[in-house]
Amino acid sequence: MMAAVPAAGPALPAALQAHGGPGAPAHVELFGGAQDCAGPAFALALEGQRALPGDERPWLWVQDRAALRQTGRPYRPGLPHALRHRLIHVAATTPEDALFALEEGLRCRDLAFVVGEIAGNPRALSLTAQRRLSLAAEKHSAVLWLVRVGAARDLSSARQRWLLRPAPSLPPRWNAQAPGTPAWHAELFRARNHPPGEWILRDDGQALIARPVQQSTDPVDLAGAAGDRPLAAG
Amino acid sequence: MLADARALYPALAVTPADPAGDRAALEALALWAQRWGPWSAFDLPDGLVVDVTGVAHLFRGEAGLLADAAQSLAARGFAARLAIRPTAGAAWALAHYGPERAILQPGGSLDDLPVAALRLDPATVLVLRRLGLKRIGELSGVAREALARRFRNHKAPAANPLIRLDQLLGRVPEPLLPVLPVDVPLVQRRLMEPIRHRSLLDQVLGDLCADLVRVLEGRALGARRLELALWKVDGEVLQRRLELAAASRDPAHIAALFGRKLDDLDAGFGIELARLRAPWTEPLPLSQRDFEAAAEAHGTSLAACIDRLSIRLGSDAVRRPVPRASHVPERAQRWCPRWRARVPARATCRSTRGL
Repeated sequence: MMAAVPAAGPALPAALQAHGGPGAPAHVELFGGAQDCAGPAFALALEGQRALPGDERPWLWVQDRAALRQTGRPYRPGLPHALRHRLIHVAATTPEDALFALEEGLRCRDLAFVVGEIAGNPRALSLTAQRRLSLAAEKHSAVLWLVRVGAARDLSSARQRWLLRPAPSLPPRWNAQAPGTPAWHAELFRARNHPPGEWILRDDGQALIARPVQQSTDPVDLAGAAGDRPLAAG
Repeated sequence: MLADARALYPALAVTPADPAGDRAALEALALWAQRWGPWSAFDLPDGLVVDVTGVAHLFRGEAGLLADAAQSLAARGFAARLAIRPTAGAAWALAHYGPERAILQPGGSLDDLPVAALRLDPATVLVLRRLGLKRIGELSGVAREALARRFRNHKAPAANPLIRLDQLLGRVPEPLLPVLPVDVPLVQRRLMEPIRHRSLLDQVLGDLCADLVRVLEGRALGARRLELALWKVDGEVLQRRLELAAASRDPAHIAALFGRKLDDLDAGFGIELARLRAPWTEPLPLSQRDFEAAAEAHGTSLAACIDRLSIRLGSDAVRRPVPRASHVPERAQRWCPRWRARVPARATCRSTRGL
């Protein structure tokens, strides 16, 4: 499926293409708002595109109580086709229980990937806890999408940290009243081996495509606006 | 004296006395006599007390037990007198002065036995005879206070007929020192036919170890010292003892250690009974080593993961959404509490409806 992407449009950024291969980031942190659910949607869109046809391994979605209250439970018809029949949902009461469930999921060899959704900045999710998750994920070659709902950017050992928010979708081609396909504004603000960047990710009906966001029309390293200084050289 | 006797009868057979050898033989016999009961005690110099409480049905009744014991002892060359009574004193009295193979009858009385049947020393017997008391029943004809005053300075049970009478009737306890403590984990196998070959013995040993490990598991113990006893057909008991560095409950380990000690075994005409005991045990709680080690190395299975999550978070916390036929979107899914791997939910629904 990845091979068909270049013909359809711009390929995914290198930070996202490296997923699934050797040396792939095992622990990815996604920051998002409490109202839009951009984080899990982004993770599931990527995993749904990456899913192999014969892969029937289940995957784990862990939510603590605060995240359940803010973002709700998963809705099966809304999940990607390749993933919806393989979901195991864990409703944890406290962030400690959620972290326990995440670590157990990472240690399980029969799970495809693990999505953890934790709201806010609980005391349990310290740098030590993050590092435990990172080490467990790398030891067992598992993939962890840690979704932070309405959280500040605290210390973390995640290999990639993304900030996600919804982006306006393109107007539908046939029905102007219909909702468009989802799109995300993804900002990679911290990563190993990859420069930070911003992209607009969009599902064009066949695959995910990404376009770099134009910061402004002016290159950053040139002089700013003229103001009232003279334009003549010298 | 020996010269005088030989002068009278030159063909006299003479054997030096061997008290230590007699004691050792009695110890071996006490051990061997445990085939009829869980423990046995010495009755020096030449007797044995075996506790047969609750085991007579294994030998088709008490008469069958006595017949078996008489036959086995005769086969080993012992002339034995046997008796079964509720107390050790009464059994001793019947065995020494009663009829052959006496068993307690409901209305049975010991009044006709001589007073020597009370296990008294000769001086006391002589005193009683001079008093005119020759039968046990005659003791009850005398006022108890008179006898108590007569023997008030005799504290030893063998010198005081009242104490012995009470012990005979079970009014006062009479502790016996058993040859073995009773709470030792013990397993045994009686063999249909005597075995003489090593491969069969290894099989029996493996079975015994498995049985013993099951017993030890039930008590949360681990064995430190093990004793394997093999009863041979010709009356000897072969013993092999083993000590372990740490409390262990591994049947394969124990069997392998014993296997090296059985190399010089002389089975003779065969081994008919094998018993394994653990006289020294230490607490060894159950542990799961392999489970964690395999999980650390290769990851856990899905079932183990779901089990752990369900145990800690509750069975309602781990669920999966399954579709339901409804036109209301909110009702188009329901949460199935259990993860059934590879079992499609629709198939079970159809089969249920078909039934």
